[in-house]
Amino acid sequence: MGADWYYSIGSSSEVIRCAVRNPLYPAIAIGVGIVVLLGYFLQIELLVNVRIIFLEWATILIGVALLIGVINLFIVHLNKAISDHPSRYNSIALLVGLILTLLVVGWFKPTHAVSVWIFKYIQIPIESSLVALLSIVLIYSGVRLLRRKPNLLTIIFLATAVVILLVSGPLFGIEIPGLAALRIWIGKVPAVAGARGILLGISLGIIAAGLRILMGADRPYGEN
Amino acid sequence: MDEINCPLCGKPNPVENKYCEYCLGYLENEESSIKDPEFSDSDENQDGLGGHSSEVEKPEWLSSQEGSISSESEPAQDDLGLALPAADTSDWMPGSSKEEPSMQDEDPAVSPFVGGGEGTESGEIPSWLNDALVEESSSEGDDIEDTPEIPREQDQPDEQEKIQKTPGSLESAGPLAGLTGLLSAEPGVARIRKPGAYSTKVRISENQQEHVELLQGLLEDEGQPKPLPRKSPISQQHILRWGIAIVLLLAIFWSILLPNEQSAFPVYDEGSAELNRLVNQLPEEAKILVGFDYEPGLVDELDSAAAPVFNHLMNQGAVFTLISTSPNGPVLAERFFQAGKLEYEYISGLEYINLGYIPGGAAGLISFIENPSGTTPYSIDGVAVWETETGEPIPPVIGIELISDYEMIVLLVDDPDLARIWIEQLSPIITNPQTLTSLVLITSAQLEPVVRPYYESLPQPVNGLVVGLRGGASYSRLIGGDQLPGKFWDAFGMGTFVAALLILVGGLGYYVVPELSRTVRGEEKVD
Repeated sequence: MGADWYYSIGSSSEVIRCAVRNPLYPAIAIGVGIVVLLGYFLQIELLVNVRIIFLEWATILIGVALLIGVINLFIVHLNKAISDHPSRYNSIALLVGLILTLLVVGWFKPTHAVSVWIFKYIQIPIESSLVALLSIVLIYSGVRLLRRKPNLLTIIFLATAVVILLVSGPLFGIEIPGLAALRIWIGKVPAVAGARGILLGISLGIIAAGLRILMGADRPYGEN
Repeated sequence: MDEINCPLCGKPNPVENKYCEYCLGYLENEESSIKDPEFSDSDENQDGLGGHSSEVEKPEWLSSQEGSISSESEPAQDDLGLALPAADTSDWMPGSSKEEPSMQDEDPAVSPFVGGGEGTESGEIPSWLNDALVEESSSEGDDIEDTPEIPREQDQPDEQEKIQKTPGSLESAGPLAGLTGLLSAEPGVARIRKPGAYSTKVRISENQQEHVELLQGLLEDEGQPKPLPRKSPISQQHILRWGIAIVLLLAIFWSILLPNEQSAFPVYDEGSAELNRLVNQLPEEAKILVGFDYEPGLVDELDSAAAPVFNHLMNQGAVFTLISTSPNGPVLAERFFQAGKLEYEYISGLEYINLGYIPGGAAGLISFIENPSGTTPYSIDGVAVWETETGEPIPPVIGIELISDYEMIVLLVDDPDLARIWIEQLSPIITNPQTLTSLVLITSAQLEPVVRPYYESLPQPVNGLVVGLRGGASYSRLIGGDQLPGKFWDAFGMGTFVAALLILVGGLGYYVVPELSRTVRGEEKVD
């Protein structure tokens, strides 16, 4: 179904094969997109209901995709675990963890104290440790930032970081005049200006991408 | 009667015949050529076809030729006119004599048979046969002489010669074994030779050999892996990293283990104050929708920021509906309510309900916003939330049909994309003047620049904002009491101060020290 369709043009002695993309996928994507988009602008009951149904389908499909992803992960690591791959012990650890968690959560249900215990004492400490390491790496990078030819932007960057860090905490109860005001100004003016620019860019990008999909120029649904 | 076989046609002839009766070929009599003193090498065997006696009357043309030959047979001269010894030529030239020149020097068109020797006795030789004989004899001689000196078996030539010299003899080997009178094959073809033994060594001089060895040595060195210079297991960077970590940890532990008087919370934070006002205005048993969309790594920061807000909400008697668009969210939400970090203990199903995870990101969220009961009909425990056996929904969602039926939506988020999706999808509802629902955000400090524009804009899609531990501490100050941020506030303050100090001192050290050393070196050069 995903294959392209071929049309023969010309006489039998001279046939030009012309690849024509399957029009079914773009038709579905464009049709659904237009229905959902119109559902926002036109408050017609039928249109709104169809839009809601489409969105529920999308939710279910993405849920199934997540399940397929987990199964695929399991199969990949199972193959790795039974092979002679050097990192097969990592795969075995992953499989053991996955199966144990599935059994515990499936037996006790996700909100049971035992299920929460796994999350609280295994997953949270590991991820928190990584974030703690990140803080040390960032400080280290900040220290070494001035090592090579510092320019004005480097100095501004470092000064901003130092000011924000100093004012974020209590600073032993000491109040440096102007520092708190400077922090508020940084948070409200330059940071917000930059963030707004980024958000505007994202919005324009999303509009452009949506229009391209609606026009059939972009086909991110698997057709080559 | 003795007979001799003709070497050309192989037919027997009387031994006294010099020429074959059938083909007129010269009958070579080995015995006579060897034993008869009359046949000398110089006379008879030079042409390879037989000898002619000196007694035979020579024609005029031959006499004139002999005269010229005798003059030519004098010691040869080189290009410079220097005389060369006659022995030089006679040594390597087979069949040549010192007295008379070889027949090869003569004109090949001149036949030795014509008008001379025994040939005249047997009859006149036709010109075509004469030409053929001359060509054959010359080609045989050439083949033999041109053959390079290749080592061969000693027996082989003798046998070959025997076969050649006795063409009428019985064939002893090969497919023609047993037949007589066979023509011998061409000498060059018939001879079986061993391949020459060539040396495999290249003939090069000693100097060239030295160069070859030098080049070979260079190439072999290139092929061999050279061990990299060993790096010290502890480099300067390692020391710096470890130093930063140790200093940071010591500072934090010091503030935890040696508690002094707790530092004061921030006096005022606009976003926190606005949220506090909104919570105070909530009716009793207000329905609150809470979105848990953050990662477990930031759980302590988000917990500390959210705990005062939730304590305040619980104090107001609010009930909660928990939802998430990330797979970790439902467990984080459950842990938040079970961890004992809150002042109140809420019961699942009565005071809060966990609807679990909505797959699909933005699409799932839109679906939930537009149709909460259709998108999440069951709780994470599999309980039918919106329609129980009695036909009534469970208490936390009583009266909820649309998302705008919630009094407040609280979003705990650390991801900019998720925050943006939530805000943008809820914006039409929140900014609608006819709805009373408010959206408040409790975020990580790293997300403040992204969400603050929404809070600062008008109409406000975000009505309240608590950012990080500082925001939680500020909210704690507003509601009073011993809140969660107080446990971390001093350690947090010490950590941020030391981090700022390390960056400042370390950065300046990295910048100033090389500059100073460069200046000192420059001054030394000037001096």
